[in-house]
Amino acid sequence: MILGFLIFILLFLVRVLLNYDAKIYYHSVICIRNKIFFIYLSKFLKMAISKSAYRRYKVIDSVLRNKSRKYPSIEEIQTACENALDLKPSLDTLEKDFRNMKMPEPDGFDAPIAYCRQNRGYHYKDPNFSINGVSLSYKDVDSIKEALEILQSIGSSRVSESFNYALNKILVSYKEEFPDGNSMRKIIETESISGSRGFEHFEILFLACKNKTPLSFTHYSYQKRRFKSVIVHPVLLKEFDNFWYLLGYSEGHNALRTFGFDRIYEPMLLNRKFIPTSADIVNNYYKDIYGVYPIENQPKQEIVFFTSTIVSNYFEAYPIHGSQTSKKNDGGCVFKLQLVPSVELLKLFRSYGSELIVMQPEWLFEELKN
Amino acid sequence: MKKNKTILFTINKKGHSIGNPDLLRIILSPEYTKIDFGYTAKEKYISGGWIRMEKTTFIEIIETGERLVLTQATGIPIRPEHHYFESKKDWRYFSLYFPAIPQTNSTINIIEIENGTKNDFNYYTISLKMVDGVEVL
Repeated sequence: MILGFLIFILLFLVRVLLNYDAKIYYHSVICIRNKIFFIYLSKFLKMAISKSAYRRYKVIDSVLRNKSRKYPSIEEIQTACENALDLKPSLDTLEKDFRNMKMPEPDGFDAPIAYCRQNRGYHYKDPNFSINGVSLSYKDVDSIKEALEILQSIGSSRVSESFNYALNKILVSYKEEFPDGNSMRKIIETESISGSRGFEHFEILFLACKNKTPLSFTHYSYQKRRFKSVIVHPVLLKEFDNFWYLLGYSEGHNALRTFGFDRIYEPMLLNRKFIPTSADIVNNYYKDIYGVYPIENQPKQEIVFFTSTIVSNYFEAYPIHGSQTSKKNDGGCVFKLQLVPSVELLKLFRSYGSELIVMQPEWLFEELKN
Repeated sequence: MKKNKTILFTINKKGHSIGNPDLLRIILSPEYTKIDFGYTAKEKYISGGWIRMEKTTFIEIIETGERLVLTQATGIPIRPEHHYFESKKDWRYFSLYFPAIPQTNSTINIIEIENGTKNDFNYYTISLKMVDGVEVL
């Protein structure tokens, strides 16, 4: 009798566990519409669907969306499930799956599955339908895979922790959605060294720009070798030559100023009325400059320089500014720029040594000679 | 301005000698007073020399005579420890923490060593007018 009671308890527990398994909650479902990602992070998709059933639904969904093999029969769907899941569902199970998928949300997916007598197979009445809200062609999906791989390559170390976190969530979902994607394989490598000083402030500076919140921080000038506490009304984050900068209206300078991330200490958000800078001013601020730091009291001007043949190839291949024009001759090439001279331009010119000679203006020629 | 907020003052003041760090900001929180400094190594010292703070550094509120002693320092060691610079071109950003001071108009001294030499980090008559403060979010 005791044995019978124990068997009863055991069966009861098994039933409870199976029932629990059937109540698995699925999070982080990616919904892609018109190539914009909407990640349902806070809202759990509560479905009383077992994980194995959900995996079958995904296979059924992909088979029904396959434009190269329209109107699959139930046997073909069964084979697809067997190939994808290593488990052959019965035809009864698949018919039950169709019924469940057709049920309205939140119990089902409201899937417009129909049987076409003429073509002897199943299809979606709405050809753009998908249980994941994906209305993309296979070509679109390939493009998204590529975009995600690029994001992974350039995004991983360049921006904030929270961005990385969000990106990883997308990538995890992407791997789940497209298991063939090999996102671990690096195809693009961009210049980025972790541990850059000041980069830990990326998030607060980004939020300050986004939410138009004034900031207080301490700035150390490498040139003047001096600390200064400033209040800045930030407008833009800029990357140039793998360095990051904050552009904002500085109360102390009463003008727009650029601050290198590496020279910013302890930024703090302030409850102060934001002084806006017009979009035109911001857009034009870096328009006529190579780099970020203009040389004081130097207006926009024509800069003419000569380069050797080898160096001219680089300048021709990678123009440094939209105003750049060139005229070749046998000994090299003469380039012209319409620019506000900058610290970065001088640095670039110096980097080519005797392979580059400034012809105009005179003061720049003298400056580089020194 | 409400008194349970954190209030920031932009100061940018030199000390009582050229060798002192720049006094950059004072932050009055309901829990503590934080003072930010910036120091640039000096040419006259070998490899830029060293810096450190006295454990007995205090804030003096001139109006009341109240003295509040240093509770914590970040970016700078407390004596007998020293931070040695590696070159004459180095710099150091550091902060000192003291107990909270009232969020009312006041004038303070920051004293590392009373009647100290020019090498000691002393700052006198720093005016904190609440109207000049900005609330930190």
